[in-house]
Amino acid sequence: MISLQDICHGYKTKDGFHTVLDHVNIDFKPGHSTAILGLNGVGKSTLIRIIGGAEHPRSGKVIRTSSVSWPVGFGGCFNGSLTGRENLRFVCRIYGADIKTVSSFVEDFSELGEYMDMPFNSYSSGMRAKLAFGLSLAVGFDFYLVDEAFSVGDVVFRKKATKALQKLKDQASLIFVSHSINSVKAHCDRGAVLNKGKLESFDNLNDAIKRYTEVCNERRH
Amino acid sequence: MRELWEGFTVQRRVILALMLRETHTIYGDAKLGYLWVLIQSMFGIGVFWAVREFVGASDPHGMPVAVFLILGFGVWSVISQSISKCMNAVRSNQALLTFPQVTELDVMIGRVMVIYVTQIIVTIALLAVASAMDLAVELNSAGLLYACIFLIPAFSLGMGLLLSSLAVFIPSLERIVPLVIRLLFFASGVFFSVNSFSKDIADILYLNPILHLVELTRCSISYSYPSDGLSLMYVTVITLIVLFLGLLLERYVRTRRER
Repeated sequence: MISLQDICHGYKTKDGFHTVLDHVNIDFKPGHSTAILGLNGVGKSTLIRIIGGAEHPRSGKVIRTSSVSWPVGFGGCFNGSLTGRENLRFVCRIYGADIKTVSSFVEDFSELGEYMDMPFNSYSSGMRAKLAFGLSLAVGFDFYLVDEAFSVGDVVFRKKATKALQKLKDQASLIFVSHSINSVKAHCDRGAVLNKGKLESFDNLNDAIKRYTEVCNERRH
Repeated sequence: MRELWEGFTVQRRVILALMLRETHTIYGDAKLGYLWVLIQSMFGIGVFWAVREFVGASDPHGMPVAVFLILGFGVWSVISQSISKCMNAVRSNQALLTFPQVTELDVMIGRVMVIYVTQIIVTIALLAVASAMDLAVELNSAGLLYACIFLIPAFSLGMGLLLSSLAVFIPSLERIVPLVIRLLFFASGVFFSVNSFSKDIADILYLNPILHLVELTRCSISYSYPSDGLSLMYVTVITLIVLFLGLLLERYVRTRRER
């Protein structure tokens, strides 16, 4: 389980302090995949980074009793000047995973071919997502943080990823950020809506989508 | 207790992975790779050696100039490189800090270790050459040598942590520190001995802990090198204070860094 308790976070800007997360509370239970919905720039990615431990909240507590992946997206958690393979080795070393098994899985899954030995900088966003997602599957986690990763992939990759995720469902759960209602519906059974620093969580995904649509409409008028 | 042990294992793994990565990014691209460090160090030492020979300066206190310079530059390189590498450690490793088990502290420890190990290898290689050329390399005090070998990286890490953390609040430090390092190069006894100065100036120079580290290392490897005015106690206390403050401040600053 991952439990966020009273998380506050924000950034200093030119005209004072900008609050991104305002007393956020939520529990992620194993076996339930949660979609995080919200407009652009409300702090979904920040929330994901805090859940994963990439960023520390200004106040509040994150309790993790399950293993959590790094945020799998097209954003960089890899070193640009190193090749895909070198990045893979680094990740294996810090997670204590076996380099050989992981390599062969990722090569097979990501279909990067000779690009594995090219600098990560030279990858397209789709290739980045493939490597990041394949690698996270190979290492193995209880929770996967997925930040818009599939929106950049082509149909073939998306199909492959969906299949891999369905297979994982018994052992792993997702925390999923996406604007695509379709993919949210395909992968998640719960939802949470982030709006103006507040996070509302719903046990039923449809309620969350309804609330998200309301938020979108408020904006439009 | 078990959790603490697990924490240590993870940290050891992370630092090792970071060290491998650092060596790779620093030296991996060049064809000669690691050999470049040796060439660079030899060049630096060679220039100052030539200058000293040209001016006709005598061997400092019975220590061959080459050995004198090898030790001076060795100690100085570890400290100065560690400080500057720590100050941009976070910026150049931002992507890796996304992984929760990689912390700013790990990145800096990794960098200091790479610099330190590299310099030790270089220094030993150069001393071996000097010794083969029949220049006196004499182990005077193993205890003192061990103390220096331990204190130098500790001091470097402490300074690196302290300055890089302070730079979060005072960004202009990133400009000022390199200037100060350049000044300290002349005030740390890298290519001269303190004893060649008048007492007034030497008294000021003795405040500089780097000078103590440089000169003490020389003492440990020569029978004749004078240890007047040097204090192992002084550097030990300064090192502990710097390391303590550095670790403390790094922890405080960690949540306040803009990523």
